[in-house]
Amino acid sequence: MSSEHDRILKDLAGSMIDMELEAAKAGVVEALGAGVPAKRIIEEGLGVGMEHIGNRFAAGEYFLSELIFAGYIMQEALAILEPHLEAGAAVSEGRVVIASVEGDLHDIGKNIAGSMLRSAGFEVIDLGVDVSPERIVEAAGEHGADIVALSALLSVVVPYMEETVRAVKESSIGGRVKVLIGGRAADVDSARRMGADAYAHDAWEGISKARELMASIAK
Amino acid sequence: MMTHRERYMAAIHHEEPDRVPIYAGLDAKFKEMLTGRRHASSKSYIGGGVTVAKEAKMTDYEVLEWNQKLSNDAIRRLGTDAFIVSDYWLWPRGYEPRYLDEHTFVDWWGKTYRLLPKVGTNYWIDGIIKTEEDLDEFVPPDPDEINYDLVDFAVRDARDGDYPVIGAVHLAGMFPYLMMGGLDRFCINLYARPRFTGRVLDMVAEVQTEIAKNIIDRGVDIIAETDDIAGVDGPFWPPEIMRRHIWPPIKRLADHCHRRGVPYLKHTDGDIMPVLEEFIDFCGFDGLNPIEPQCMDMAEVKRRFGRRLYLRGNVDITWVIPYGAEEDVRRDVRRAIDQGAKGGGFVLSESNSFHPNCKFENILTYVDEAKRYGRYPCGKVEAEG
Repeated sequence: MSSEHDRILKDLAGSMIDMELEAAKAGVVEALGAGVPAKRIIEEGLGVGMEHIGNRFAAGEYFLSELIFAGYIMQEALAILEPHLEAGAAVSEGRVVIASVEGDLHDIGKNIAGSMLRSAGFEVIDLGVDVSPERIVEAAGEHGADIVALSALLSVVVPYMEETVRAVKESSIGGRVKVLIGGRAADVDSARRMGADAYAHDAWEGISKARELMASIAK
Repeated sequence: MMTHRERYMAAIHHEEPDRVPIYAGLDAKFKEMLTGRRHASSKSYIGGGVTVAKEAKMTDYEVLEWNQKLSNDAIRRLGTDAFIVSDYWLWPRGYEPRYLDEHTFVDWWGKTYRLLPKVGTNYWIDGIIKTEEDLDEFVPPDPDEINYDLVDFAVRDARDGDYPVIGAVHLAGMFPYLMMGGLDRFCINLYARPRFTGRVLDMVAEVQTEIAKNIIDRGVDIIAETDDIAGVDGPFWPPEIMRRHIWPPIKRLADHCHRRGVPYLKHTDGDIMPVLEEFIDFCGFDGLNPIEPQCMDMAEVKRRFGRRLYLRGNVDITWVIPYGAEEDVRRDVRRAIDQGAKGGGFVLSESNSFHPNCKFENILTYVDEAKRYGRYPCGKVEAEG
């Protein structure tokens, strides 16, 4: 049985790596039918495939379109799995409130980042675009967020990003919530200047940065 | 002393002119500061953070010509060397944006924009072609129904001072992904619904190629094709997707430009280096811009491709121009000239555009240092091969 489960999970990871949407969905259904626990399907099937694609993207061997499509396959597969996840069975990596800052209507980068974080096991609450600092602080408090992830594409909205970081840090949740920033308008220096806890260069790096932030909270 | 046009055209034909030609892509704010005149609100998205107005006292064309004149005069005042007229500003005759709400409208290519008054800019937010049925119902613009009077005006106005005119066009990549709801949805459709995506790409390329040909017929000196196909992490798509969908229309238009003796500049943000050699081999374009310093090394591009491409780049607009001190600006201008200028084949420009967060005095310093340091002989990096 176990070797059969292993084979199914290996094939599922392979379908992810080959970016075969229908094969990946069929693989999830097959795994469920064979009695593989949903959590194992995510971690040892889909997650392995996603990790492979992400690492090759980080190494410059895969392209953005492939990373995006892999994230889409992951979401489609998770939709099949969702009813089969027992309450509490899926241990969340952390809870992230994500938004494009006030003044910025761009959502492509934010959507990709959110989708990557979801695929890595984070719970993601997406507040959308052009979100005020007050709304972000309020939502982070309401949802008990571990991380506030902010995206800004245009330099013109950098002041709003700064204001948002300050609002989070000065709020009552500022002591426990970590701020992760990304997007074209941000970089390591601006993150430091604004007082953000981390900067992610791209959506894939966002996962590792979010994990580092979670580790720092655990300490 | 050479005229602006003589200087610019000599440089892009790989000759050393009297000094490095300078390009400046200016936000409306700086055009207003340079000319003392207001940019007019337009009826549609025309880039550069220009306010969109549903009602205008001037006719549509008067607004466009007013803004084109403002743009040209700002270049004259700043002392840079080229005018630009963009297909963003060439509307189908009788065009009216379709408003979805007070601030949101759909343009003639099915791209949806929203004005955000608090930051004084308008943004693309979505597109209306989500399914093959949407595509079947969509009527693309007729290239012969576009009003090209603005190109005629720019070409005519450029004679005063003898400026070259760059015709900026979109072709393959950006319009399709904006019409389809964004780069993320476009990428998903590329793999999940390849036939649909291919149809959208073909439709846009066919119409935009004809628009570009009409712009060339009106007498522009250079075609700049401005679809972004890369980000800071590298090209958006793998080479097999590029070969199938993105590069063929670029090659067709570049071939047409060459038959007409018009140089073809390829603009893309991001890091195109991983596929650049094959891209040039495939398409045969003549110039590259903006060679973003955050992810590309202009010295390396000059060394490896400087004999095949003219370079237009790449003074940093992410930190140097918005936040840097005068000396930072002068240093970065000298760095760009050192990397690009030797032997010609180089136009100095900002690394994307002078956006509203840039410091005005730093833009003036950029021009001043370019004119001081960019006198030939200059440049340090030699093109090889």
